[in-house]
Amino acid sequence: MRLLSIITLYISICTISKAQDSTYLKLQQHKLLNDKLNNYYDAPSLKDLNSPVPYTDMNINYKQQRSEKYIWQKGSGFNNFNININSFLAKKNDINLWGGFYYNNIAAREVNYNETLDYDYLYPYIMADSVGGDLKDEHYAISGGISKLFNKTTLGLESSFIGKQSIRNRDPRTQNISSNFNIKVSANQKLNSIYNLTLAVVGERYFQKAKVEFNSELGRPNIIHETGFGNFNKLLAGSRDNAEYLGYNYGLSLHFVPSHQLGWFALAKYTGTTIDKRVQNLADIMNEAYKDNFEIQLGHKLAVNSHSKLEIGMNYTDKKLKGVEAKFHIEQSLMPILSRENLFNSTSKDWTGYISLQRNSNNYDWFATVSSSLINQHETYQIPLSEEKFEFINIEGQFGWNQRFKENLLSLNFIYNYSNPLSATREWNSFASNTNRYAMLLNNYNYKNTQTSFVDFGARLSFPVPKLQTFYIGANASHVFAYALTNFGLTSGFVF
Amino acid sequence: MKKRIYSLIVIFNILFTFAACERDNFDIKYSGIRIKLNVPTGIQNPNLTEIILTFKESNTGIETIAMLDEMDKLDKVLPTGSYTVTLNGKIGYSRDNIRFVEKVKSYKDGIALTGQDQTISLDLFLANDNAGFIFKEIFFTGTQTPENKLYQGDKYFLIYNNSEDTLYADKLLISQSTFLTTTKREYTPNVMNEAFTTTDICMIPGNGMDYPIAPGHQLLIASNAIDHTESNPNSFDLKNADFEMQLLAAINVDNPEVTNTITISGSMTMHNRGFTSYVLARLPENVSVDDFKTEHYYTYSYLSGTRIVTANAYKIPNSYILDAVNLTVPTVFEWIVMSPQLDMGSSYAGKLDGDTNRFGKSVLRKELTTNPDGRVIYQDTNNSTVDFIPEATPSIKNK
Repeated sequence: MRLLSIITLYISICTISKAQDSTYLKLQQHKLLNDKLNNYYDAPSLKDLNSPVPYTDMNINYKQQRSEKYIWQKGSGFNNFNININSFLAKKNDINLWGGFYYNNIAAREVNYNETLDYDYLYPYIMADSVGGDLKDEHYAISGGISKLFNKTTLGLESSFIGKQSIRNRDPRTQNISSNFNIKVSANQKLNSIYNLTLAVVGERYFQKAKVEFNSELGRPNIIHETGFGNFNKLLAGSRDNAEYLGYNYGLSLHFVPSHQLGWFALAKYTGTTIDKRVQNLADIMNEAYKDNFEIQLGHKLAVNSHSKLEIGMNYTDKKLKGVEAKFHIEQSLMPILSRENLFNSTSKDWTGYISLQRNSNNYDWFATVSSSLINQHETYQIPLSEEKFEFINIEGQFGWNQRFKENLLSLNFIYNYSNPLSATREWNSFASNTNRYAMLLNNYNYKNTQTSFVDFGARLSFPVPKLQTFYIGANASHVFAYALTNFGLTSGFVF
Repeated sequence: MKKRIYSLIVIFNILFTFAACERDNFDIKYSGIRIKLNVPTGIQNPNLTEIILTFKESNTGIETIAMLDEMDKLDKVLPTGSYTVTLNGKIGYSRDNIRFVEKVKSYKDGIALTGQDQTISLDLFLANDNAGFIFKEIFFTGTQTPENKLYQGDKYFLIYNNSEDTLYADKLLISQSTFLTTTKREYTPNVMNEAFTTTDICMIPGNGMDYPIAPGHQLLIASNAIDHTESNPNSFDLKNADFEMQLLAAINVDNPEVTNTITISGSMTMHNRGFTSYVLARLPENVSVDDFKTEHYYTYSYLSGTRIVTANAYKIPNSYILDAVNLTVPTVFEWIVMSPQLDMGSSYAGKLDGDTNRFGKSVLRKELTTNPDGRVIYQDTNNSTVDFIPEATPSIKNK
């Protein structure tokens, strides 16, 4: 019913909207030629600089993924139906408005050792059992923003809300709900006719209520509260089937960007996160995760001639996660807290460099990008000592082409990515090698420690439709050879 | 405009510095541990060796094995946590001028370590991994009536669970020796070092788990499970015995409310002067009574004067035997009638043969110590001379 309402709304808006025939072409051209620059402009007060025309894009997407090798906690694949609406409007008095909405309906397969939403965000402090199974997820998001120019200063405000729920209709019956409210404020100062300096501040509140129920009278698996490397709190394992996560993200970023995507680009960004986990019938916080993410990005784009541009860039990201665990003591049926200790640590460093050549003309645009990354990942657990260390090299080639045929636009995109683990070491001291937990760890380790080749090909064709709207339809398929992973997607929408 | 730019950069620096500042200290804290060992009561001249402590943390499940240095300090520091500790070691001690070495254990839970050094007090208790059912008391002499007549129906065995585990009394054998400790003979073939020779065997019924006996609990097995005080004020009330033996028809009084033991062989007429010995045994699971009787039938011969006497009995392999007690009369003692591996000594109820003072006396095993849980551990060194109190007052008498 909810889905039907959304589709009806989508079709209604499509039929009453007034279109601009060049909107889609300009959007596609901007997207093709400035793909690597979006992060520099990721601030509300820079939104208008990265939106070439006012537009509304409404699309319906379907994506299917299957994989023989996979991280158990994330599942072997999914079917994802998605409706997405984005709009950017330039109003009078130098005011810009934008907004968006999406709905995702996901059927995830074979999710194991994870009974929580947002695994990547909450890792390693997830609630789990060894049974798992398929999940049905629904995600909603609504967002909106405004910016206004005051002389040479632009102030911007953006906010979003994401709601998710996840259920399983057989034991273990997962019922998870999460919400994420985000607000971002930024101020942009125009330095001269070319460059801008922007300061953005972001605040975010995350909450998840995770719950597992069992209807079977024949028995149930233990609910485990994981702490990393397959470790878990033995005292709290069993039937504490509820967990609550409260997270706060906060960050700031400084952006140095040209007004017209030509010249020097720089970005420095910090995001901090604290997440507290509480479990059923326990007064104190069980786990705390503290994250620090730093990112520095630098690039330059120059016009080789009137139709060609050369872009180079590099970025460095440094992610740290400090995991704190509480230990408890049984004392007359109470469980007072004994200590809070930093047992889990994770760091990830990523150096990336790229070079991109772009060309635009009346009938076609294309770009070719080659990039390479060196990634270091290191995770440790203090007692018992466990460790995983990886170093990857990643080389990627990307080619995109927009070809105009009268009033149609054909967009093609091809990506090849080669990832090779240069080194990988592990040490696990928590349990015997004949246990299922060991098998889980080994599977996930082997998944990461695999040389992969990823290919993706996408095509999209647009048509003008009555009332000057643009209709497009596209598909993409990708494959990762080492994982026997196949991804297939369809998209269709209107831009006006 | 420059001011605005500077302002933006200054704000960024302030916010960045604030955001990146160091958080709380969550370092792991460790506790140094000193152990205070409390030796069991009654142990003289203790000497503790090979002490190994295992600390298990409840949150992580991690076990840490540690030893003590000369200052009773643990050789490892322990991270914060909620701990259970178990101790295993050996204790040497003296009793009756004899030196013994036994296993010693301890256990304590609910130990909270929070990073400060701590002293943990542990109460030690003796532990014998081979401990099991033992003869706690054998009352074999009978009593005398006020008229000085013999009263023989009130004999009994007390079988005690000396282990840390619940044991099952089902199919326990009680057997009296055929050979006498007061008459040494050359029996041919000589199987003394491998088996116990008997013609009197009774067995506790049950299918394996019908008669659980908790640690520190006992079984009373009476000749006649009746209140003997009704006819003999010098005797005892045995009507609440756990089992009743089936004696010779002439002297058997059956109390239908008390379960009878199963007679395997003979009649278990206990020698009232204490010339015989007793063993407590159990057949292996794959050996039935019939198999035992077939496979362990024993024909032996000995020289009596100038005559060779041939006789038949059963031999219970030493490996079946759980406990053994040699009884005798010291003044006429000639030998022990079993392998010294089972019992290298003997006990008695009367020093002289035919001593009428023996009536109303038993042999009673000595208490070694009492564990912190109140459970009495009886001495069991496989030497009845030191393990038993001879000429003891029957423990039943005061109940």
